Amino acid sequence: MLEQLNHVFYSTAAIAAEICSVCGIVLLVLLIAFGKKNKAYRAASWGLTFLTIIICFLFVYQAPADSFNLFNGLFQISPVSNFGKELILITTLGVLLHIRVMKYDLESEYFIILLAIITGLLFLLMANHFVSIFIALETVSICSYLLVAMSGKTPNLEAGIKYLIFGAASTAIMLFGMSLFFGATGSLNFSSELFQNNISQNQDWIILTALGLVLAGPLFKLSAAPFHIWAPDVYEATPTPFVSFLAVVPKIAAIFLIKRLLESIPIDTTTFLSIVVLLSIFIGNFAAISQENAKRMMGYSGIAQAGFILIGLLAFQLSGFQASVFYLAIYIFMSLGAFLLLDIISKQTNSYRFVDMAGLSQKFVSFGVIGLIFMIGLVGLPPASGFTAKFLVFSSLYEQYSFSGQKILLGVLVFGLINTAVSIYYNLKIPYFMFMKKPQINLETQRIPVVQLVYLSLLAVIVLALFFAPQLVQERMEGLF
Amino acid sequence: MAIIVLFLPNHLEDKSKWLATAVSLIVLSLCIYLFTAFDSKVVGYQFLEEKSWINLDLGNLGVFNIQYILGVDGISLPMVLLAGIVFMAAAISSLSIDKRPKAYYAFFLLLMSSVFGCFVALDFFLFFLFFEFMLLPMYFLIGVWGGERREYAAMKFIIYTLVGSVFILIVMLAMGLSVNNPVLSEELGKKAFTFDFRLLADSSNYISGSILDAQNTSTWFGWPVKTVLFVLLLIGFGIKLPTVPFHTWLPDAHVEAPTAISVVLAGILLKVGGYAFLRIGIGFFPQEAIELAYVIAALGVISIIYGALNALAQDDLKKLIAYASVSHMGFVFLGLASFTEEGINGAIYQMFSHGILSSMLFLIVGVIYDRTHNRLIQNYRGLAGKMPLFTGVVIVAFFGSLGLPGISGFIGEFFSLLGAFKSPNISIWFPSLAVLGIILSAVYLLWTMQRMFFGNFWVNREFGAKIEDLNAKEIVMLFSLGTLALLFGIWPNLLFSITNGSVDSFLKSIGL
Repeated sequence: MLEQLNHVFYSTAAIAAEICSVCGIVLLVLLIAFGKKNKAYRAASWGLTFLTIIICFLFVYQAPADSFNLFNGLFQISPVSNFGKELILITTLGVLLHIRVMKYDLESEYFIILLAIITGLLFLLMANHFVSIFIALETVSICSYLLVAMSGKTPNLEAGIKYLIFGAASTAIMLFGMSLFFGATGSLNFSSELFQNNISQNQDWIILTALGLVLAGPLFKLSAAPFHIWAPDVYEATPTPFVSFLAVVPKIAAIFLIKRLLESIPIDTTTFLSIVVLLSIFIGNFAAISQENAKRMMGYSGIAQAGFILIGLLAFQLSGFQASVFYLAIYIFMSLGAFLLLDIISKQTNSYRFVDMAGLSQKFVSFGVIGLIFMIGLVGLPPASGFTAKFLVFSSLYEQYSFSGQKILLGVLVFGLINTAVSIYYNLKIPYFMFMKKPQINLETQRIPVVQLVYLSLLAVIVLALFFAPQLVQERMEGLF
Repeated sequence: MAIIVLFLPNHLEDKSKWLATAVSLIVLSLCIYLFTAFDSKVVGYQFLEEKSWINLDLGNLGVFNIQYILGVDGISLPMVLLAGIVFMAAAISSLSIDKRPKAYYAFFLLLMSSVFGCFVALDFFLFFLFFEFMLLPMYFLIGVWGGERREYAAMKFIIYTLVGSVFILIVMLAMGLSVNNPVLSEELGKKAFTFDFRLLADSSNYISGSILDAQNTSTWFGWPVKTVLFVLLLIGFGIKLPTVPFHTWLPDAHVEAPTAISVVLAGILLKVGGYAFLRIGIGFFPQEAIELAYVIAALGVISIIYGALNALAQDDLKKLIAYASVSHMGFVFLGLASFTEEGINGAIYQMFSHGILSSMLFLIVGVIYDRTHNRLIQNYRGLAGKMPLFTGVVIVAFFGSLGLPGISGFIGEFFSLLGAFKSPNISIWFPSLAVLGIILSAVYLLWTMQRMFFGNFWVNREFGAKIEDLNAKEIVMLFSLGTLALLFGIWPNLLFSITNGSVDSFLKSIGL
């Protein structure tokens, strides 16, 4: 009894970061309940959120570097999950800075939702049990629907409902898969002995079906095909900083989760994952080509990027997961930068359409050049670190191919590389319009605030620096995997 | 050599055009210094500069050891010198650019550093970086400062070449993951994948069981892996060269690009394809290359004939010259496919000479275009009377291109053909057909010459007043290039003495 109590105390101490973010939510609720609805309070809630995230980050950063189970195996804390948490918190800090820099005056409620999503994601990264996965994932999902639909305008509601319907459907599919696992093994804790012993007694196709169904949940978060349909609408309707948030943060958690599932369930998923990758890249790329709205284009491009990140998981037994995580780390900064770029552009032109960006960098040359860095990073051209990231995932894929000799991997490799070349067409559209088209509106009187440019350049410097010194991320990752 | 690569364009003042010219001049003098200081008796690379750069840790698999190695040998040195000359000419020619000069010169210098980087890089990864890096500046230089359909041309250019680079990337991955750096590997206690050209060339470094290993008999799509890799390289560099059927981006890019950029494009960018194919394609896949020699030669011959026939049908002077480029670059492939000392020396010479002559040709088009903004051949007749100096230069360039002995083009074509006739690897029909290409090039060049320069003076009424002879800037550029063309035509040993030793050891290293 005492032992159990000790275990609970011990576990509670280990999730200090999560508790801290919950405290942040409570404080925000109090602030809204007792504070006034004016600008100063809204700024204060931004500050409170920022502070909470920093404290969370410090807790995670100091966490001991070994892994142990919490709450009787409901969660498992490990250096890997801590690294994922760090990535998520850093992204959130970036998004919060974006909000400040672009002078968004947001309702305090937005920050509550933001923190709630973070809490859910932090738990999701530690989840070691199908039930805890489900609860954490639902926390994230429900809050995300709210985040999208909150402003109450028609496009937001439309996107929110779409998000909700597809999200609910994929959750249902995931639950069905979990129930199959329970039926097959008699346990929901996928690292338990019972589960591991029983799983190999089932026929492969049952396990594969169940796993495929369970993966519907994280793949939906990743916006990978065929669970991608919500992405463009959500991207178009949601305020840009939150798009920037939704484009990256759930992806991080999803990749870590998929890896946990793949390594715990001994079955060859190469064909299944390859099809997901091929579909995502294909649909994302070819739909992005014909877009006229930059945010929708980014939505489709995000689908393709999800495919590229997933490539690493095809080789997770070798160094693929590392490559994927490296890709994610780089993607954080490229994506933050690209959305900040779009936001600054839209502040200048009041539009996200390509035609309205025409000629912007003829007035703001340095702005255009900085913007170019993010776009070539997303394509994967040197000297942006997007190149290193793509290089790593593709080389791990190649290594996996020469290790296992499965032909489909070679197909993914060739197809992925060709699609990289295709993606240059739409990614360069933004610089193309900014550099090469004649401006349609009078830009003479417009100025870009220095602080926006500074933040944008900071992100650009990171994207470039990680190309020349990838060891900055690599050393942090070393020994984790 | 590092200095050349480290020219970064962060000067953004109004004087950028003079700065760029000065930089080109310094670079050219450095190239000439290299050329004279190069010791042709030494085998291997010279002026080496080595630094460990990126070590990407792959966990248990090993590390990617990417090095920053620069150096030249007799194969790359002519290209470096050529790049110096071409960029000098282009810098002078672009003095007349006045639309957003800051950005223009920034891209220009960026392009310059990446081209030099391509020729001196001795690490496959580094080479690939520079190779990719040429795309963006070129895209903007064509897309912003080009002609009417510039955006289309720029996009076509970048997509074609990017597809090519993707093929090269596949090969790079396959090679990098097959070759071990023995020194570093011992130090770290695990595999150290390397891209160093010198280590890639040595088969004792190949990891056993990997793709490059001679015992490996695995196939991709029914073909031996190494053959597939070689074909990928052939396509990748073939796009850049360009060879028929991957050439369609070239006429568009040339027609839309501003004069100076056309000069760079024809003068040096195309040579990257030829150089890299020799160094990487043939250097690391010699057996496959010899087996497929007939394919390479056929591509070359088709380019020669098809390019020439196309040139014959053009009425836009610039398009004509663009197709002539395709035709002349065909000799490079023909020479390389012969695998004889003459052929490969000839191919390198052909690249060098075509660099100079095509720069001249595009500058010539620029001269006419600057005056009248019209390049249609039928709008001009009898220019010789009004523009005697210009006609003189045109004669050198045209006759050089059609292979008149005494001008550099002859040497390149002659040795390429000589090698091809001698070669045991390809049928004698290939060079025989290629000779036909020389006749065709005589036809279209002389016909153009006769239509535009001889006869009574007549031009389309709108331009009548604008026809003047060369100004000082044009005289400097065209005359110095013309002199070089004559110099290298009369004294081929100037270049052969450099290339011969390296080609010799290159052929030995691939077992011929």
